[in-house]
Amino acid sequence: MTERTGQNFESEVKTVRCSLWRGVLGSVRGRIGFGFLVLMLGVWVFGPLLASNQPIVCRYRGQWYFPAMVEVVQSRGMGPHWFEKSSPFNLPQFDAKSELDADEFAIWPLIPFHEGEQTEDVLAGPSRRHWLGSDELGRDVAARMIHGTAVSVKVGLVSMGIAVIIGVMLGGLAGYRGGWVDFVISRVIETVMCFPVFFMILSILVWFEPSIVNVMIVIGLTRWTAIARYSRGEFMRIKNLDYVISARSQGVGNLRIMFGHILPNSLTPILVSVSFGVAAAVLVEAGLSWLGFGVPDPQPSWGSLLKSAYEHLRVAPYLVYPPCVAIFLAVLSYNLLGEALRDAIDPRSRKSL
Amino acid sequence: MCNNNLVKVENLKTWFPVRKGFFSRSVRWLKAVDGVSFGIGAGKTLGLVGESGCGKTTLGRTILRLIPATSGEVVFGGHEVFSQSGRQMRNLRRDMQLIFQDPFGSLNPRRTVESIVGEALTVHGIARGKKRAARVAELLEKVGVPASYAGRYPHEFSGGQRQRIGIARALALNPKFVVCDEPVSALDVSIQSQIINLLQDLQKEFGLTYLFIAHDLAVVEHISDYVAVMYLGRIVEHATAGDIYANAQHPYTQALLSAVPQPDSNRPGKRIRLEGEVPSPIDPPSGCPFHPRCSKAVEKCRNELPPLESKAGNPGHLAACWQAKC
Repeated sequence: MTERTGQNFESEVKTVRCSLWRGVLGSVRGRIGFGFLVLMLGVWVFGPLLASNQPIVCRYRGQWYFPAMVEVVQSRGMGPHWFEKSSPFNLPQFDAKSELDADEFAIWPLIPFHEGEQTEDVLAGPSRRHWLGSDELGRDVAARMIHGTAVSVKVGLVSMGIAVIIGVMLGGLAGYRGGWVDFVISRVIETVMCFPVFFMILSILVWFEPSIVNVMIVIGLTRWTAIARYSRGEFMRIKNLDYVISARSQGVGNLRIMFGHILPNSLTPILVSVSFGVAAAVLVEAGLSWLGFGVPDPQPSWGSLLKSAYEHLRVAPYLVYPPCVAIFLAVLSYNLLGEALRDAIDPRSRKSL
Repeated sequence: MCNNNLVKVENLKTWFPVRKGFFSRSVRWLKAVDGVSFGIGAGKTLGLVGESGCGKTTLGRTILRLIPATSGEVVFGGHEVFSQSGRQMRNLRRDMQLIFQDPFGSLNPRRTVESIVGEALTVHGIARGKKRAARVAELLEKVGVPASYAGRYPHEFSGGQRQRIGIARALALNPKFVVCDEPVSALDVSIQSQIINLLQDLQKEFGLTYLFIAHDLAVVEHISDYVAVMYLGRIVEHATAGDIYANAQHPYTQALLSAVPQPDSNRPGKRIRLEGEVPSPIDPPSGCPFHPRCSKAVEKCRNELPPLESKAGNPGHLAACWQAKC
């Protein structure tokens, strides 16, 4: 049944088991891509420590407070319910900057502005006060960039999570069952691939109110075709390997074979298409926000920042660059990571770098 | 032969459609197994020999209902295998197991040995947790792998050890019948004898019935009670191991036997060379499928298919050849 020699299989197992990470991180592309991914995750998680209108640590009326640190835990939804900012920092009208006296001890975030905080500087240029300038409502662009990272990270990961579930289910079923099931699912995949995805997303979003959740769901529902095709091929290949036939001969059920035997062995190629898919999702989200179908206004995202900068391009051209560069770097690094993963899996396409 | 057969195969056919053309019309059939009948008595071993591509593996897997049969029937311990419902078949599978040729591809590279050997125990609800670990350890010791290796992954083992793990997996459910699909062909000669001795010891201990597939008569001679020789999807000769080696009737069997290296110079051997290639099973030759390569072929061989019938005055010695004496 299998024509492969032991040697071949040995090297494949080795690649899959231990040297995948080494392969990815051994290439320059992999390191850049992975490094930027970690950086984005870090900015997302620790955003309030980088930009907030409340101090990281301060001494206020004889007591110690850690409002920005609490914000990190709270805004990720990680902290228990009682874990809240202590009074008076939890009151909306409390302005820490004016309340705290200059002689009281306080460590402020690098950018002492909240993402929605309006100052009197409207469309200001880059300065020591506003590193990347401020927008038409006087909000600090650097703070908004930092808090907009969350949208890009979440959109990429959640929409690809949805896409992986749909793609692996359909592709796996098609590859495992074969026959008419494969025929029907393959035609469905080809049909969805033919849709101009961006316009389909636009037309779907017309019916729903713009929100980050809707954007994620719609991207996930339309971007699963590549994953489905990869998993179909992998399932087709692996279902005829001896260890799967052995499981069948022992009476192991179909679901257990699909998810317990085939899926773990087919994940690596799927990972590659996920990585490219995240890059595409980030781009789609930016495009949707730019058109006004994405994240609604007070919540910042790189796409919506770009949109508001574009509207004031003549007055404040400097506002266009930060979101552009961020989107470019994010998409680039996801693509580099995908390429590094692909090369690590398939040594034949590896080039000297 | 034996009347109390554990496994009985009756006129089994496994044909694969060869699709061709844009509309996938089924044009021709690849007859991998074409009308095979035999029985294996409980506790006995039937050696199945033939060149690569003659349908040995397909036959073994069809008997286990891993490949759908085109027609014919397999009776296992009184049950018609092909008419079992899903649940009945699952229970039946506990009694029939498979050992593979390729010790590298037959173990899931992402699973530990304990999970590989013990999965069937979990699936059939026999043992879990500590009980399963204990049973796996017992099985590993039985096949000669240290039980302390249960947490390791397949790539940490040598070919022979992996084959032992594959055997332990097959034994996990206490089967009655094991299809050994060329279990030693991929191993070094020194390891081959170890594995064969292991299989024989296990047969004695558990009263196993083997269908032992091989492409090498020397290997089969050692372990089999009966030997069936297969050529292009058909059995051409079927007899006890002793009869096959002492008194082969079919020219194909004689040619195979002459290819076995003889350390004993008292057994005079003249090498019979087989001319030509194995014909394609898609378009088998008319009449006796062996006639294009047979030195004894006459006109009748080209036109009429010889039936498998008793030869050499021995009712237990079956051969499909017009030229063999009755």
